[in-house]
Amino acid sequence: MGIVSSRLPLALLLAAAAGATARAADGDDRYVAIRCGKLITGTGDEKSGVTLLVKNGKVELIGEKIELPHPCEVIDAGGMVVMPGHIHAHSRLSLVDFQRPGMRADLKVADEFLPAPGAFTPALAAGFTTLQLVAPGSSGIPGRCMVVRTADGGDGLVIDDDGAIKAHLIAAAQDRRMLAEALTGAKREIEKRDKAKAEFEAKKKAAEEQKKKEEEAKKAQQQGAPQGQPQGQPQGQPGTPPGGPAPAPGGPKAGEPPAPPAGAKPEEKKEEAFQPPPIPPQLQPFVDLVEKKPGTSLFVKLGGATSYLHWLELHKEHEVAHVLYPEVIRAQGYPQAFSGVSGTDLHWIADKVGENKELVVLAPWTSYTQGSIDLVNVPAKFAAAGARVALTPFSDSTDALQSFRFQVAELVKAGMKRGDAIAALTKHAAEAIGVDAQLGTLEPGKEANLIVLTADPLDAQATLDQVLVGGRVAWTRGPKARS
Amino acid sequence: MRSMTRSLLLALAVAVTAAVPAPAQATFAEDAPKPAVPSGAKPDEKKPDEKKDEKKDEKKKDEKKDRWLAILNGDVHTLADGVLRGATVVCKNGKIHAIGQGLAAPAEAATIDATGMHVYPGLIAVNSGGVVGPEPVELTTDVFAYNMTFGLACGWTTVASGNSAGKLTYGTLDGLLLRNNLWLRMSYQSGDERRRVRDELEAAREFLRKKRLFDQLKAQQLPAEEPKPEGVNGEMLRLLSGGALARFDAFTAEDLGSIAKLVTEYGFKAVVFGANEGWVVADQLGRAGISCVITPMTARVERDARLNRPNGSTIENAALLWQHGVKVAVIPETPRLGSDGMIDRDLRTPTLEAALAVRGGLPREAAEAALTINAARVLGIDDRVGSIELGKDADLIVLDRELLDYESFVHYAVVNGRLAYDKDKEPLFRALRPRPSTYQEPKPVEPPKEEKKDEKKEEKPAEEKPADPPADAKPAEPPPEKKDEKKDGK
Repeated sequence: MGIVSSRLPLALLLAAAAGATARAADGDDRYVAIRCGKLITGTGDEKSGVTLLVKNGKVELIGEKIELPHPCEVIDAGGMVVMPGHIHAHSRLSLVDFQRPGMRADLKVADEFLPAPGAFTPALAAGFTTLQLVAPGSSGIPGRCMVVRTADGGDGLVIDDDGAIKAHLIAAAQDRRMLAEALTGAKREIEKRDKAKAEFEAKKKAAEEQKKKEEEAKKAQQQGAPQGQPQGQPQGQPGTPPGGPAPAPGGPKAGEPPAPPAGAKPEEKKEEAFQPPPIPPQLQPFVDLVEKKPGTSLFVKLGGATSYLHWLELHKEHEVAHVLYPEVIRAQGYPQAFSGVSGTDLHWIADKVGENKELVVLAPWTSYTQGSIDLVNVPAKFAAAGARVALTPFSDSTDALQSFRFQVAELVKAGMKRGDAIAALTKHAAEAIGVDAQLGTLEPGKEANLIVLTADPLDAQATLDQVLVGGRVAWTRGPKARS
Repeated sequence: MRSMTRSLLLALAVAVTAAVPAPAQATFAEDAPKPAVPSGAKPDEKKPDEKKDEKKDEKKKDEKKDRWLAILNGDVHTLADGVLRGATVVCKNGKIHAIGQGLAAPAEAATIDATGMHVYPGLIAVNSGGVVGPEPVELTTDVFAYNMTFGLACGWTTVASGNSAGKLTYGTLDGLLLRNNLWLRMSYQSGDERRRVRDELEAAREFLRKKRLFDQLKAQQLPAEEPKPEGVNGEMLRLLSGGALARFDAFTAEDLGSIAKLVTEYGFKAVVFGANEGWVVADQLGRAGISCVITPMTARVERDARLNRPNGSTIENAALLWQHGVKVAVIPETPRLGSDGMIDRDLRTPTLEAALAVRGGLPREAAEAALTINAARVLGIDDRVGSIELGKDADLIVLDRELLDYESFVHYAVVNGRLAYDKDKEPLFRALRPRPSTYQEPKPVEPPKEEKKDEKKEEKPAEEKPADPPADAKPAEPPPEKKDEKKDGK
């Protein structure tokens, strides 16, 4: 997970696009205090009448009576509710969607990320402060996701440009094979590299030993016959064998970097550093995944319950960090057994999902069971079974974004525990996109991305009042606006 | 009867090797470990094996517990060995472990009380669409699909899809694929096709002859040149050496007759789908050992008076074929689930098709076999499914009446020893002639000590008793009491 700084030109461009906020001058700490009527931290706590102090975009303190530092902006949300900004875990906002079938884990969303000014305003206006922009299409392994802010609070828009690998496991006949191939391919690459390394080290050792022997022999010779002539040859020999064969395990890549043709010194330096055999760029993310490199994970879009069984079989062989995104089918229209609106079957796997403590991203819907008008609350069942459920809007449409909190409230009405629902909006949502270290809850040290609501988030009458990103007001309800 | 068995069950706490038969009718799977040897058998010879088996079992148990399911006291239509009235079928780890009257089920078994009901092997559809997925079925099948439940509710437990046979393993991918490459599809209609098929078969036969000669010479250590299978169709070789099953689709007497001739000449295993005019050449088909898949009543083909031989379709087709020794399997007209209307001729009405064959004169047992064991033979999977026999897959259906009774409902379907369908639990037919479910989840085994006392009390009336300790105690060691008891019994 690279916190972006390598893409300087892009970052500059983004800053320009978002209306370049001025950074606090060095030494000048920027303080913002928010007086909250109620604070939902996302950790399970709900506190009344507290003040949240933000220092340089990060939460500094939460307390009832805080002595405010001198230059301090104060936002009065006295009668209102403050909570972490919403997180959209499956968005294509500002991007054009298209199909990218096949195995393209080498491609990144970051490479197509060039948002127009105001591209994220719809999300911002619905209370979303963080988006995971997913790789395009609805099949194959289309690439790596990225995580962005919806407004620049001073640190740019990009949070993580090297996010999860998106993969689909819907039509198992193709998708399961593709995933299995990618994972076994990665394992093969790792084996290849380890083997090359072992060979390299063995050779190095052998060369060193030979060198020692030669030196000993030299010493012996020096002691025996201190003439100059025979010395020259043995000295030259130990130099060449390690210099010659050593790069060979490194493969063709080893030859390419600055390789001065002659001269003993640079050659010896090169010999020391091991050059791993090149890994195909498509497999590189999977190699990281299999090696459990922190920050890499697989974002798997699942179809129905059966595809989860296929995932379990895959996972039995290749244990990797993953987040599941099963398709929740919305209860809508007439349910039909054989055609038309189909029911869900996800509730049948709730036990298994809970047992495995899966991290699951779900759309906030209740569903019909198959062939009936019996409603089933899949998110609630998953959460009750012990899975970590994150809720996310089902699309990027303004409608989906604006009705998000309402949909979540409907789930609570349909039996989901309030605590599970709040966690699904905050903590688990941040975990699902791999930014739980810096976002998701309001705790000291985390980024001050928060929203101010006129009432409880699950209350249908709650209206969004303000959105703060990095401690700066990024969106405010207009004086006449009703929402 | 039932309550007695139950009390026995509790009293004896028969565990790992629990199922103990009344000596007369019960049989045991050969590969499965035998709990107590029936009185007629030779106990001494088999004991070492038993011990080994049981030890193996114990090892397995450390990893995973055995999965037991018992269907109690139903009329078991075995389709292999007649009907056993009021018999119990015990399944272990997905295979049929014991069948017999007065069997006690292991204490930790899930049970279905089938008193007054009929137990049949699961039905086999020799052709289907939309029940399991297209090939590769193990990857494309939605095991939570509505159609899978529906298929089970209609009695199917195995269906062919394309060239594979898949099971309706509701809710699990385990054991979904039964077999790949069921048939070698052959076309034998036009003159070109016939010439090509005959040429290829001839070449294959010639090669096999040479090969046999070579083998003989080699055995006698005489000089010989090994024949090379160049230019010989490998599939034909497989066919002639008995490794494959040929599938033809043919309808007219002319086509069927020539297929019969071909099969008789080259001697390979073959099935014919269609066979509308099979009754005309039934004797030839019977002699060639060909199995037929028919739809007893199809769109009527009138007799053509210009042909100077019997022709046209008849409802007696199945009966006439059967009379000539042809193995007949039956498939509904539309091999899919759920077309419109109440009684369409599709996979929802398997028994209607068989009943139509009965109307044409096919005996009831043969009609039942046409949906089960003969269908399995047609697919070449009769070693695994199609009848209730020891060691076969535990694919069973429990009906409230006999299979071909038009009023019968499937109440339970068991696939690979797992309950896959329970009429009372699914919304599908739950409201029609409701009957409360008797399925009971496996219970934890009760402590053994008290029960041993009861065991001795009840010993007198029963002929033979198992004295095995419950699974938790020491399943590996056959207890010393066992021998004593046998002596007592004798």
